[in-house]
Amino acid sequence: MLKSKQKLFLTGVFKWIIALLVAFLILFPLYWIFISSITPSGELFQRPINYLPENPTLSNYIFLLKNVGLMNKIISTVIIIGITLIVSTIVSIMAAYAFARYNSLGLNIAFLFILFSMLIPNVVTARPLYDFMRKVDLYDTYPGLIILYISQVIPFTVLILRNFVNNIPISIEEAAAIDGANFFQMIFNIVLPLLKPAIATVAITNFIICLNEFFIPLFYANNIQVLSTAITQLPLQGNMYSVPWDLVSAMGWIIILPIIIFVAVFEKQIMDGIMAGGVKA
Amino acid sequence: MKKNKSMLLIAWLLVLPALVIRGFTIIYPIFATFKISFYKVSLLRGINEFVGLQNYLDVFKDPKVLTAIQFTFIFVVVSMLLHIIFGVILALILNMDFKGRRFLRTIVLIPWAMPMVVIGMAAKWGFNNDYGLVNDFIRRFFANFELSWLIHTNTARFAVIAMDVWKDLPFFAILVLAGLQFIPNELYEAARVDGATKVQAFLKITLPLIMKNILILSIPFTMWRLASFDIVYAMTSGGPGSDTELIAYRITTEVFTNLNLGYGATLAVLLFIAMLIFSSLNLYVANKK
Amino acid sequence: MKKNNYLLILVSITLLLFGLSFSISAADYDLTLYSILTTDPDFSDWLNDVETATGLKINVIAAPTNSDTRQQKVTTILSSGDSSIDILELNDEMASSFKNSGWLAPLQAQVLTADILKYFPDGYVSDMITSRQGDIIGVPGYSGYLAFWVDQQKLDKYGFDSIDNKEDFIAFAKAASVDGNYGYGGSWERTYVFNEIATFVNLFGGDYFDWTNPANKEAIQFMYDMVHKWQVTPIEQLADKYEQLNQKFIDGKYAMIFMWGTGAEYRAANRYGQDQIHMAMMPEFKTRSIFTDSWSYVLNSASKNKEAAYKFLRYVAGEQGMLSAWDNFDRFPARSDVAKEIPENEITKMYQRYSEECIVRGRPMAPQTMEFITQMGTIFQQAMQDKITIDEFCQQAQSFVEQYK
Repeated sequence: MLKSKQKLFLTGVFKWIIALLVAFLILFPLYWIFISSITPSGELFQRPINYLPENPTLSNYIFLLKNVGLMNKIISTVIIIGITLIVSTIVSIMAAYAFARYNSLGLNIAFLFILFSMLIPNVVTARPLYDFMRKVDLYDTYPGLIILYISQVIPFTVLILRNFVNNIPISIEEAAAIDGANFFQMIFNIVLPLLKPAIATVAITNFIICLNEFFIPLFYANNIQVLSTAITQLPLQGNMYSVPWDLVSAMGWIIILPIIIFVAVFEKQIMDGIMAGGVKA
Repeated sequence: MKKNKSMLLIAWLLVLPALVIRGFTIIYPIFATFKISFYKVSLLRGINEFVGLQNYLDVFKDPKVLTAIQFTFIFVVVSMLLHIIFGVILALILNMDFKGRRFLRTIVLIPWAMPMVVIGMAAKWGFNNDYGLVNDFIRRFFANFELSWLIHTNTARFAVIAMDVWKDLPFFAILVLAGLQFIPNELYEAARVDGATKVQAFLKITLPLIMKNILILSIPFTMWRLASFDIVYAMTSGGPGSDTELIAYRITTEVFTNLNLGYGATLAVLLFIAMLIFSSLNLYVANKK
Repeated sequence: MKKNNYLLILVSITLLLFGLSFSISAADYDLTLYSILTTDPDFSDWLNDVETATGLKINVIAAPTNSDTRQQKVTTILSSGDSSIDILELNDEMASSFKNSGWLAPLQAQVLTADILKYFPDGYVSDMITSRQGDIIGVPGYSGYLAFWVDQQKLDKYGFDSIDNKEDFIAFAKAASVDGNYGYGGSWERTYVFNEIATFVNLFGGDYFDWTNPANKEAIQFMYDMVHKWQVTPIEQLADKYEQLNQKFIDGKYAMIFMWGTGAEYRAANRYGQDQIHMAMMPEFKTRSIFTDSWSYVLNSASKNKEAAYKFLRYVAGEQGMLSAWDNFDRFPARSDVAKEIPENEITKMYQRYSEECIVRGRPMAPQTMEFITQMGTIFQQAMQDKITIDEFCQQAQSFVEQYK
C-alpha cells in the first residue's frame, strides 16, 4: 500500500518537473524580452544578463505611447478585426452549412476550390493583388483591408465549421421540418444554438490570427495602420540605419500582452474548439 | 442528403458570399502571376518582354535559388521531423492527468498566438553571442562558451529551425492531443490486463492509432513551412551569405526589392506546383494507411 | 425574439465600426509625406515649423524604419504609380536605384535652381540624385559622413596620439586586441558590409567598380588579414548590424570603427566626449578618402499635388528648413552656406576638416543597387569564412559589377 502511495507521489513530482520544464522553455524568453524592455539602456547590455534590473523604468513604454500613435492603430485594428470577425463568421457558417448538408458536383468543386486556395501562399499573389486592389480602388481603404482579412480566414473557418455541422445529426433538422418549421426557423432555432461553441472557437482563433496578420496591413495600406506593423516603425537612432533593442522589446510586449491575456481568459474555448474541430482520423 | 432543385439553389446562395470574397482576392492574382512568369519584367530597367520558358530555365541555373531550395528542403524536413517527434511527446505531457494541466495548456498556447515578426526580431538578439539569452543560459553551465549562432551556416540554420519549432510545436502538439482523446480507454485497460508496460502500450496502441492523424496534420504544417518567409525576414535576412534564405523569402526579395516581377512570378508558380504535388502525395499516403 | 436581438446587436456593431472608419479617413490635406522620422520625439516640432512656414496642411504617414520593409514598401509605391503619396524620403541606395526610372519628378526647374544648387555638394548631387537625362530628382535632407570614430581611453592606454596612416591603424588595432577585446570593429552583415568594403577600397586607392584593380584585392586581403592573420577584428561581426556594432563599441569591445551620424548613441550611453568616444580624422592609407551620405526628399511623379509639393521641397531646401532639421533631428545641413551658420562645435569642426582634407565621395551604387549590395555582401562573407579565396572573390565581384552596373 505504502509502496504504491510512494509511487503515486513520485509520478506526481515527475509530472510537475516535466510541466515546469516545458513552462520554463516557453515563458523564459518572454520574461527576457520583458526585462529588456524595462531595463534602462545603460544597464541593458550586460554580460552575464541581469535578470532582475536594478533600476526598472517604464521610459520605453512612455516613449512609445507618446510617439508611435498607438491610439490610432488600436482604433483601426478594432474596426478591421471587429467587422472581419462578424462578416467572416456569418459568411462561413452559411457556406459550411451548405457544404455539409447539400451535395452536388458543383458544390464539391466549390469546396475544393476554397480548400485548395489555402495552399496559395500570400507571397505568391502579393504583387498582382496589389495592382488589382489599386485598380478597383480598394487599396488603403477599410473595405479593401477587411475583404482581404475575411478572405484570409474563410478557408480554415469553413473547413472547421463544416466538420461541426457534420457532427449534428441530420435527424434533428428533419424532425423540425416535419413539425412545420421553415428553413430560417430551423437555422436559427436549431442549428445555430448547437453550433454556438464552435462559433466561439472559430471567432477566438480568427481574432488571434487577425491580430497577428502582418503581411496584409503592411502591403495593402499606407494611411491605415494597425498594431501588428507598429514594430516596423520604431525610431531610428542617430545614424539613421539602426533600430534599438530596448524599444523593439517594449513594442513586442505591447503587441503580445493583449494576446497573452486573451489566451489565458479563453483557454478553455480555444482548447475545446481545437479538440472537437481538429482532425479526426 | 437533400436533393431537389430549389434546395440546391439555396445551397448555392449560402455558399456564394464565401466564394465571391475568396475568388475576388485569389483568381485574378493567380492568372496574373502565371502569365507574368513567361515575361522578363525588370521595372528598374524598364524591361517588359515575352521570353517564353526562359525564366523557368534560369531558375535551375541560379545559385541563389538553388541554395534557397536546398535550405527550404532542410528546413521543412528537419522542422517537421522535430514537430512529429516532440509533438507526440508534448501531447503526451499535455495529456498527463495532474493538477497543473490547465496551467500548462494555457502556456502552451502562447507561442502559437504570438506574431512571428516579434519572435524573429527578438530571436536576432537572443542568439547574439554577447547579449543574447541563449548563450547566457548556456554559460551558466559552461562558463567559457562562445558561439555566434547566426554567422555560421549550420548554427544559423539550426537557430532558424529552433525558433520555428518553438513557435509552432505547441500548436501541433495540441492537435495531436485532439487525436489522442479519441482512443478509447478500454484499449489501454485491455493491454494492462494482458500485462503490457506503459511503453509497450504506447508503441502498440497509441502510436499506430494516431499515425494517420499525424500524417494528415502534417499537410498544413508542411505547407506553412514551405510558404513561410517571415521568420527569416525578421531574424536573419537570409544570412550568413544566403544560407538561410527560404524560397518564399527569395520570392519576396525578387518581387518587392529587386522588382524582377517575371522571375519572382516564376518562382512563385514553381512553389505552388511543389506544394500541390506534395499535398496530393501526402493525402494519398494518408488515405492508403 | 432573443435571436433577433443578437442579430440587431451585430448589425449595429458593424454599422458603428463602418461609421468610425469613415470618420477617420475624412480629413483634408494639401500634401502627403511618407516619412521615417515620425517616431522621433521632435517630429511634431519639426512638422509645426514646416506647416507654419509653408502654410500647407500635411498628412504624415509613418514609413517602416526597418530597412528591408521600407525598401519594399517604397519600391512598390513608386513602381506602381500610386498617387496617394506625394513626398518620400529616400536613402542613397534607393535614390540611385530610382533616379533613371522616371518615377521621380525632376526638381531643377522648380526647387533646386542654380542659385541654390551651388551650395549643395557637387559630387554627391551628380552621383546620387542626378538622372541620366540630367534631371535632379531629390533634395538632400542632410549631409553625413561615414566617419572614423575612436575610443580615446584606448588611445591613451596603448600610447597612441592619433591614427594617421595604415601603419598606425594596424599597430593600434594590434595593441588594443587584448583581453577578449578587438582593435577594429565592423558591421559585416551582408547588406551593411558594403560600406566598409568600399571604404577600404577607397583608402587603398582602388575603384569599387573595377575588381581587376590590384588595390581592390589589397583592400579585401587587408580585411581578411584583420580577421585571420592579426586577429584584430572578430569574425562574429558577420551577423552584426549597426545596433550590435555600436553596443560593442560602447562596451569597450572595440577601439575604433567607421560609423555614420553624430554620436547620439554614445551620448545616450554617457560614452561621448573628447576623453571618451569621438570622431577623428580619417587615416591615410594610399588616399585619405571618406564617404558622404544623405536621405533625400523626392517627389513622386504620379503625385497630383505637385504645386504643394514644390512649396514643401523649397522649404526643406531652404535655409530655414535646413536649420529646423538641425535643431530637431541633429541633421547636419547639406548646404555649405547654411552649415557655416550653425554654432561651431567639435562635430561641425570635424565635418569642416573632412570636407577640406579628405577626398569626399558618394557611395558606389548601381541601378539595381540592393541586389548588387546583397550579392557583394554574400561573397564577402564567403571569402571571410574561407569558403572562397580572395581571387575568386575579385572575379565574382567583377562579374557582379558587369551584371548590375
